[in-house]
Amino acid sequence: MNTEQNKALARDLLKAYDEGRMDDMMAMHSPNAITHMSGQDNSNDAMREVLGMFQTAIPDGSHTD
Amino acid sequence: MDDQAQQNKDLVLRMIRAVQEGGNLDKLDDFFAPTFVDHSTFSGFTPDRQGVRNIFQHFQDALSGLKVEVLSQVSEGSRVMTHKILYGMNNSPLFGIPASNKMIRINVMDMLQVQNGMITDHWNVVDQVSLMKQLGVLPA
Repeated sequence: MNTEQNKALARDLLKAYDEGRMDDMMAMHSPNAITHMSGQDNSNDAMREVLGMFQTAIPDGSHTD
Repeated sequence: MDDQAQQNKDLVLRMIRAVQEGGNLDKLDDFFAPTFVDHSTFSGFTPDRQGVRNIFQHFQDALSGLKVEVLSQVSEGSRVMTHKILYGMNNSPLFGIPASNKMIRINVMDMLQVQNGMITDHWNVVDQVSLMKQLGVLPA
């Protein structure tokens, strides 16, 4: 994939999060993805848990440019 | 990456080594434009070139032996993004918080806009939760 395709993937990922489509968001990650979150396990499961926590706490949260 | 993007990346790395890490604040004006705007100003610091001078001096004072480890850099067009870790011995107050007398690591992602060989704008995200835990302000 080229740079613009990578950017589009990242935007799609944020859109999926904003729309609460967690399964779609996780499908955009490699099964072996490593998430470097401070103080957290670096697995996809841990990322899903943390992001789910944000969605629960801020259900109408969204990303802007 | 085109030549301009590579030159911008090199400029930012030279600035980090000479000014932010090296503490040569007399070189700051060689890198930052007079019209520089900081869009991520720390509380108590002005969003201009003098504000950068003050925050860099504050880090030099608060974190002795300050080092900047650059983990990655991405440059495209006129923007350079850097993921870096600032670390040093915190033996003087940092942002008004008493010295922890510990080695402190500050995880930073920043973006600099470069125009005509000078840095004109800055945005950043700092892992403040981790920093506050290290300083003993939040529970570890």
